[in-house]
Amino acid sequence: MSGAGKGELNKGQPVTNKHKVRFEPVGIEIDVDEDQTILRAAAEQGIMLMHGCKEGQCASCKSFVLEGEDIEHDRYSTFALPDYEKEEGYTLLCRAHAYEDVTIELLNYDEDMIRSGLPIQQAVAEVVSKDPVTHDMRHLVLRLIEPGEVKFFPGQYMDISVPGGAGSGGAGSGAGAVRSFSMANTSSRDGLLEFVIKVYAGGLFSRFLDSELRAGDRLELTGPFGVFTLRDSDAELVFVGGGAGMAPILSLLRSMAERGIHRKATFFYGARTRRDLCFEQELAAIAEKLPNFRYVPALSHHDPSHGDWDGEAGLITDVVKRLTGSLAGAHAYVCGPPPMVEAAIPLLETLGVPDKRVYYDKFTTTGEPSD
Amino acid sequence: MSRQSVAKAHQKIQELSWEPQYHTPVSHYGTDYTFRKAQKKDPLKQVLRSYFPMQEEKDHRVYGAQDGAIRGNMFRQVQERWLEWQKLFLSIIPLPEISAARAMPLLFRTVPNPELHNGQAIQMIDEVRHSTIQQNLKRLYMNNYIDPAGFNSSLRNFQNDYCGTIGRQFAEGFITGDAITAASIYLTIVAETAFTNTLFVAMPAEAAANGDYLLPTVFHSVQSDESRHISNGYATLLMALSDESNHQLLERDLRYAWWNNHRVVDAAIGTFIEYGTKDRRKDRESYAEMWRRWIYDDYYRSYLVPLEKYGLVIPHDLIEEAWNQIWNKGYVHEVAQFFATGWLANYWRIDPMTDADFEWFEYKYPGWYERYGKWWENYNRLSKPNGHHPIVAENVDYVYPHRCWTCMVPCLVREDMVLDQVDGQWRTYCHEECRWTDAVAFRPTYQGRETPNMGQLIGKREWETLYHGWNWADVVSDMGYVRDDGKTMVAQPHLDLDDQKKLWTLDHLRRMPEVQSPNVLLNQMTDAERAAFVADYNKQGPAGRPAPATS
Repeated sequence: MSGAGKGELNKGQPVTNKHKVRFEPVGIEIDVDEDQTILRAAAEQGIMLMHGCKEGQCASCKSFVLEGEDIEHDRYSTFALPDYEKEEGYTLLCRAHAYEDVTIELLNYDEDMIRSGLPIQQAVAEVVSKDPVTHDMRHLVLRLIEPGEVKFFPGQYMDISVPGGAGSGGAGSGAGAVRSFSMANTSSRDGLLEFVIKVYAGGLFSRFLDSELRAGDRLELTGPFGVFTLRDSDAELVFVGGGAGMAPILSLLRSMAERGIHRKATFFYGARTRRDLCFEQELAAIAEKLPNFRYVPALSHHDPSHGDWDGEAGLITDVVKRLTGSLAGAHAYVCGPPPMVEAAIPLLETLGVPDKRVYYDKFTTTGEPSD
Repeated sequence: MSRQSVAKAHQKIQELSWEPQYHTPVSHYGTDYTFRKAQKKDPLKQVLRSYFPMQEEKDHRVYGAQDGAIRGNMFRQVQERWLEWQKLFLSIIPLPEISAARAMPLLFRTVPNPELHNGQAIQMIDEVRHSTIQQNLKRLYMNNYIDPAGFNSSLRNFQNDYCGTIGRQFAEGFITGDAITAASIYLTIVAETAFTNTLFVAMPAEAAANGDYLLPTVFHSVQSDESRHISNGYATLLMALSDESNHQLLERDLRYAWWNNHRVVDAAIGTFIEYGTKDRRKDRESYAEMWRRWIYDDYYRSYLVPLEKYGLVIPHDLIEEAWNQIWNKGYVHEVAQFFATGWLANYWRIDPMTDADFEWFEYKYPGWYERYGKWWENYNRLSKPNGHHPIVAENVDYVYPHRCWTCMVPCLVREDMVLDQVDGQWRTYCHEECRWTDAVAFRPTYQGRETPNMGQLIGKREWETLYHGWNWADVVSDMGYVRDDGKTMVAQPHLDLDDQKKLWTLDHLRRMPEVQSPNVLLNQMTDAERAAFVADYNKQGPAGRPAPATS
């Protein structure tokens, strides 16, 4: 595929000489200009690759080229990269320029840290909308004002300052309380940030969100943070969510749909009753686009007065246990109220998910204890 | 699944566990860190099947380069100014390497991560290899260089030398105190990740510019192993970070390790690179420029800062302060001046600076001549014996400094010197941070918390105190820095070996006043005298000048 139509990529624009560099086994893809080293381009795009001297001498960035041939190196020490290793396919990313699309296997990386290179930014955003998606969950959409864009990885979160009692906006980031919310969308140039927020009686941000916040108001944010991000491999994926845990999982699923990732994936979402379900249509659309993806909502307290229900019933962890066989080698992402997360982790491990492959975000509330 | 991937081979190896099942390990070196919540990972996918062939290839090439250097008579063409400093550097550096090898077993026991044991074992083998090829390099210099004196005795020399004790302190940092503090934070997180670039990348470049292509070969062979070590450090740091009770200790240790590394490595490598070179091209990067690029821009901003959001408290203030010392307070120049002041207590020759050197220094460090120029002119004037004493005993507007108890570099930035009474002894420190290290960090309790594994900075630390009250000739004889004729000194403040009359001998030293330990004298002072001493000391400098007279 990659070779075909290479010349057409520029579509009449000036030749930019950029090529795709894909990193395995983390599945991250970036554009790299021929003028730049791969290490430098990655750093500029928030990908933290292990490195040391940046002079081709310490070998910290030594990696293995899985696909592609056309890589040129700036001057380097042949102790760091002997000729026989270069012929086998090794490269030094701090000296390497790609002249075609290449796939690189990283040999020295930490999956949790590799995405930590995105700069943490202080931002101001304006409220676009705060529509209810269930009786107690709000879909908060913000548009970034300054800066106009904050890059984040799907699954990450921002800290939002809750303006102090007197007035709004002027509370300052240091003085007011801060709450963390995961983005439900994927990073894009339009500067929109979507959140799914559950309103708890007495919750600090909830009360402010429901009673005070208006479209056009400004909020201060800091971020992105977090490592609830997709580790790409061929492994099966299991998502277990509840309540506002919808947001980061939706972000991961939207990203998979955008990138056409056809891994076997199941999203178990637990709600109390029918009226607690949300984003049903969008999830169905994602399932159509990704044939190996299945969405399994389950109700723990089905109430016939809210309508018929022929789906799964019971606590979400019981549903996972009932419907899945072995999950040996799978990657699991768990996000929801603490009791759900705490029940899900040992269950997933019993089913065969390696303990280091269970990724979770547990949120706490300032309102009533969650159900 | 069938791809022959290194990562998958590495994964398989992890299944061969290193946890001993057949006995309970005895812990000699403990840690106050805990690793209850840490994920056990190893970021570097390196396997022995590719490790040993790579090392073998690298060793072969070092031997090949050694042959080439002998055939090409490199040893007679190399700049003597440069190679003389290698007598110091190559006497010290194998010790940190061996200390690093000794540090790895401290981690086997204290970091509960069988995956990492593979990496720690590889690092241990690396460090022994490094030490061996460095000592072999020294042997070649000794056999082939025009003046072997100082190379021949360097294993004995460095440990009690006027300058070498500083290097000893650095090497001991890898195995002193809490096992994680020493072997992980001090060694791998700071020394290797931040400072080996100046040690093993900048130094070889400078060697090559001075006609020595053998040292770069050896040190590239060393530096290309650094990836494994940096990775060991990173993995352990991430493990430590995931246990919140460690954050307080990490903050302490990063402050100590950063500051101590800066004090020692910048002192030594800064001096070798700036004062040991004959390469005065204006476009050559100065040590300060290299430091800014590697340590500030890269290590600090792209390695440390992203870890802040995982709870690592980064010593921003000390990083800025280290730069302030290098750029505004002339740290490297002060150290070089001190090394040259005591040339007679060393085992190598120190070349005077020439007009070409002066011009380069003024270009790279504006204001250099005004501070240091006069002193180096005096050094030149006093370099050949002519009825005067060596410069340390002549009046050249230089006050002999006190040692810093912690880093062992003297208190050269005079205004920063602080005093404290610790373990019943008055001690001077080059900076508040070094005082804190001794008086607060290396203690059995820290901020109310039990830290029994931390240890203390004790022993015969100061060179001057070893020889308090001795005659200089006896000091030099005792250290063994005398040439074969039994009287000519190994050290000389110039490079001219042709005329015996220009060489200093023990007879010249016998006429000098005896060595006085500033620390011994300090502890004999009354409280009032000590207060006056501090007030005066803090007004001295730059370039060691006496405090201005008060009217």
